Amino acid sequence: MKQQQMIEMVQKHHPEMTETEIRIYLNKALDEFCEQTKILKGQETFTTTADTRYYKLDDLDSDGSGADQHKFIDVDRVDYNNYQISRLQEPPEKYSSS
Amino acid sequence: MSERSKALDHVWWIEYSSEKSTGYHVPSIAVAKVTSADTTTSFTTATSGKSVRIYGSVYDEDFVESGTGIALTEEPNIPSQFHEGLVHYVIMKGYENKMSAEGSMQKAGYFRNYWNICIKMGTKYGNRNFDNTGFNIKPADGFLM
Repeated sequence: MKQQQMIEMVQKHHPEMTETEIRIYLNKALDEFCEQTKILKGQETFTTTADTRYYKLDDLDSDGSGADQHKFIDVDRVDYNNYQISRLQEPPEKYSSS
Repeated sequence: MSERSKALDHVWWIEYSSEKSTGYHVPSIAVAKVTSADTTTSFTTATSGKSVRIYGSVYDEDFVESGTGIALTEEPNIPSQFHEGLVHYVIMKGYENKMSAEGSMQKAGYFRNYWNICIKMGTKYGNRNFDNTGFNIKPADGFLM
């Protein structure tokens, strides 16, 4: 169903609701649906940079914009240089200086 | 050391702690190289210039009037059988926003029920493994015989 059709269906019940208002609720519904069902799976690739341990999940390529990538709900698997690597359940107790 | 061994020396974890003292913080993914010598394990930063691919559950794009996202003439990426559920959610919100009107509470409840069914069916759909083939567990002597 296209966005326009969704808006028209809502306006049959609530003709007073504006398109903007409907769109806000549609986005809320879509986010809630994806969060609860985890129905959509995706992947993103980035390149490691020197002396960097952390990569923000909403801006993996550190270009200052999250619009160019998927927004992750959770992470199932990570490949490093095309090999699947293990997950630590907890951050390490101590980091080395380098 | 082979490329495979070098890669498998790395680990990842999700870092929830904030680098900032205040404010909202989005979790980060941490990638580190592990080296062990005698009883010491060291975690250092990963080699630069290597590709890291992350797999996981993602949000859909946003509905937009124009620009990047789901445009007026486009559909969301979730399976089509759940599109109507999104509409039910908005209709429910519409009735909740005018609770003083007669019958609004019942109507809101009616559409909330549809929305909850949609979530339930979506969860079931999301958990399916796309594989209906059966498998057998071969019994072993002395174990579950």
